[in-house]
Amino acid sequence: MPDLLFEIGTEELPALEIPRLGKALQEEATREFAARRISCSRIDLYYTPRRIALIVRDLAERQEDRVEEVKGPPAAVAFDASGNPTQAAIGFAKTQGASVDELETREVGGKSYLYLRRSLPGRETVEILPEILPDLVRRLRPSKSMRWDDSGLTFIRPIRWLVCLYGDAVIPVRLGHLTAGQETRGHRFIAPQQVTIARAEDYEETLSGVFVTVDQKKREDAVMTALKEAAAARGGNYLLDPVLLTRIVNGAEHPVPVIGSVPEEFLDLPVEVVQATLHEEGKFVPFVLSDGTSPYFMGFRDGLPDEKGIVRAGFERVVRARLRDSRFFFEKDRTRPLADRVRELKSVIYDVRLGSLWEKVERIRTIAGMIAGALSAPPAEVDRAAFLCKADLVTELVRAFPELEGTAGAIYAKLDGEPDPVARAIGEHYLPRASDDPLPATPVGAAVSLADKLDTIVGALLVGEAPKGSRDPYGLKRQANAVVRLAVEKMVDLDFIALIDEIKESYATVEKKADFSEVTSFLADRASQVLRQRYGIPPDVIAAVAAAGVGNFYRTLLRAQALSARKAREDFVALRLGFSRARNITKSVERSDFDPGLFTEDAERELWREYLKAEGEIVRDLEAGDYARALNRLLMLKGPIDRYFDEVLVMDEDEAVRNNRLAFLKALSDLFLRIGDLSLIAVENRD
Amino acid sequence: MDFQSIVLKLHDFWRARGCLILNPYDVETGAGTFNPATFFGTLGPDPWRVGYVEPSRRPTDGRYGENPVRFRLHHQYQVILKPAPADVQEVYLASLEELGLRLAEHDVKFAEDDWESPTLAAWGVGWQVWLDEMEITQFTYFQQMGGITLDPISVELTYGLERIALLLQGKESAFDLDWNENVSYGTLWREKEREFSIYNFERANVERIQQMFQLCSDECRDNLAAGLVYPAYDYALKCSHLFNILDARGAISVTERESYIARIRALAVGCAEAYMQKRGEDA
Repeated sequence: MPDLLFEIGTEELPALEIPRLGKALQEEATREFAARRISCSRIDLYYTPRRIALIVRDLAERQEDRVEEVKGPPAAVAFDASGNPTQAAIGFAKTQGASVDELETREVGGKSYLYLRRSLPGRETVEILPEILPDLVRRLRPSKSMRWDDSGLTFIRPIRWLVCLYGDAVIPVRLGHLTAGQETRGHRFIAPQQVTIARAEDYEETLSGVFVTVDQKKREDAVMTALKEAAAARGGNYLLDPVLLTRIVNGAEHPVPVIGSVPEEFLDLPVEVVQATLHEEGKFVPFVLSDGTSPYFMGFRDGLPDEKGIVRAGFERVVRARLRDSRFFFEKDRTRPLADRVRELKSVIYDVRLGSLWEKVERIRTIAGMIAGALSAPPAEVDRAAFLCKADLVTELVRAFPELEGTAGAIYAKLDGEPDPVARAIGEHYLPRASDDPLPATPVGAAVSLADKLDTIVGALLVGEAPKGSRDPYGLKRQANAVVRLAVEKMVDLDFIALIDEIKESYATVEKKADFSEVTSFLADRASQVLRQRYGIPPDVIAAVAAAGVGNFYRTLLRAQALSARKAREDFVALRLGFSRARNITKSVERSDFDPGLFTEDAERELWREYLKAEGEIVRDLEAGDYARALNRLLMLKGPIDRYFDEVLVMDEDEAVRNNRLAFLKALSDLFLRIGDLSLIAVENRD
Repeated sequence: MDFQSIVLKLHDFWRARGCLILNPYDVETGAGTFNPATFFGTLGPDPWRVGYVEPSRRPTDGRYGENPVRFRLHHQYQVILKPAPADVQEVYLASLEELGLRLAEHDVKFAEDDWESPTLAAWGVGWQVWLDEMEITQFTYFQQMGGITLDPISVELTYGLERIALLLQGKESAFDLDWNENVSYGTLWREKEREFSIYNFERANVERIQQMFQLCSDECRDNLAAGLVYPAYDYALKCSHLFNILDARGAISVTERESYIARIRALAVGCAEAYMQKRGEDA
């Protein structure tokens, strides 16, 4: 069976959006052909800046036939006593345009009904294509739609031609003012003439002859190969993020590499500055040598190799002009130390409701100071780094290259002679920006990072900017996740929910739309999410440990891990049962002070003795964070607890005895609750 | 090719394609788009083709005449084609060839860049045209102007004349460009750049400019009330320029900025609506 080619020829599409549009078209087509019962082996997608094309492989020439069944009246009323059709049967046949002879009887749910079965032959595919293909395009939802003529058609850029070939037959699909033919266009500059595609199967090859690589994977391979070869031949590593790669691959129909040199006069600029300059607007890929310099770069021309070096000269001219700007910014910034700029932050609004950046920095200093100890970070260095951490936002360099925030500050701080940990912390404090980013490597950096993120979260929540559904313009979920991750992985032994209580004063002047309880519940909720998603803690264990508070994220994880490791053990299941009894019976009990003198049974004296032994050890284990040991110690109470409930009647007739027993069980239950509410652990049913 | 010859070539090229060749507007504008030939020309159903140079004032871009490629005044060559022809990209590229750029030897890319002017209540879809990765033209299919959805669609080509001249003359600083064979760009413009930068950044009297803004805004509104569209628009343009000076002078806070933009926008929308209403009455 032949292939079908459908090519939408356009003016240059936005490079970053082409893949999404292409995939959407492919999915729409897959759905549509299935719904229409036209079989094919697969649908291939190709795209360049000037076209999106589908090739539907081995497309059937006609729809599959279909059998239609129509249910009629019950057989009981359709035939009379002598078996002749009644008016009910005749009427049904008539409305369906069939004769009574064609009707059959079938049992459905114990009753007989009349049925009409008829086979509908499939239509020719070529007849159907003009009906369905235009709608595939109309159904695409680009990020922004435009009009370009009076046809009423909208798309992300003007559509200028259509090709539709089924094998070698042109299918005259109409869209807007266009009618599809077999003429496409070659490379805009190398082969601008119209090109005829003879058969759908020839598409890729025909276009390759006019310097259009329609297969995006092949363009990507060409780009990656060029980068790797250059790195191997000249040394160094290329710095390429996925966005820049997408821009390059989808910014050209025929990308060829052009290597340019960074003039020596710029090699004394910090390498980050050179890289950011080259990277700007997604134009050039910088290479970095092992000595930290970045002496050359690669750009990609859409066309043929640049034999005369004209494009190279042009690229280098752009780079030179840009680097001259960067040097100007850099030197201007260096006329004053970074510390001098901090006060300029007073005139930069962070958020109208939360004040200037200077006020934010003051809050970061306060919070970082409270965290420093838990990270064993020298308080003086933490405070200096917090003081300086936002100062680079008022430098020329960061104004020109916002992605250098932090990095620029670190460079300037180092050149100013700030202590190395301070400079590094400034550079690290935005980390982690994404969930798979590395964390700050230094304790000072971690402290400032935590403080900055906490301030952002607290501030935004207080002024009513809590995330709603998928709307989270301040990235609060991401930042809170980063806080939890930092706390856990840096082993920060600190209760963050208690910390929120201590920093309230810093937000005294903020006009609040929410109170601090919203902040603490948001943090607790994020902690649960992170424990589950990142550290694989099951939901029931999270619920159990949450009963003992989650504010100390690090310790919560340790407790959860210890609990997860034991929750399936048989002795644990039994212990859990005993605890649950103690907990349930004491839910409304407030007193936990008891008098051993009122104990009457051996079993309760035994449990009391075991409790006394265990308590001291468990409290020590809990303080040391050795939750495995604490749980093991609790397990040793299993026998005495079981015996207690077997032999002791808690609800004794004597009120004093009864209350004393309840108070003791309350104390026992409270000891368990310091690890978590074990009754919330889901136990698999073993029966 | 010297600077003035580039302008003449473009005049010839676009005149041959049915464009009226008009003049820069005589009220300060930030871009060729603000010229009434574009603002009003793109409104309404009648075909309209025009080409002109627009000296464009952007006070915040001033660099005291010390930066080779950034200025508080640069020159745009502006073309409006209504309705947008189907081969407009090809025609545009032919105009570059006409200027002597041999495109087959260069790298040309149409890089996504959707244009929006909050003060004009206007937006469009299009590209920056990069020649060897240097931006030389803004290419836009206007969708809205003065808050009015356009039908038919106009295409706007805005050539950056300094950039193109740098390429053609192989220079790195605009001040070294030849305006003609005897006079350099620098001779004509450097001192003006320096003085205007001092004025815009350091000297402009904030209080008086604010008063002028208010006066011009009032004058615009009175004209609109009297049904005088073109005089109203002149004062809307003055408001826009005065706002730009205040901005360069650092006299506008983040919150004020939005309210200034909203005020100018309301004037522009008022002008566009009054123009359309008048057209309806005339027809």
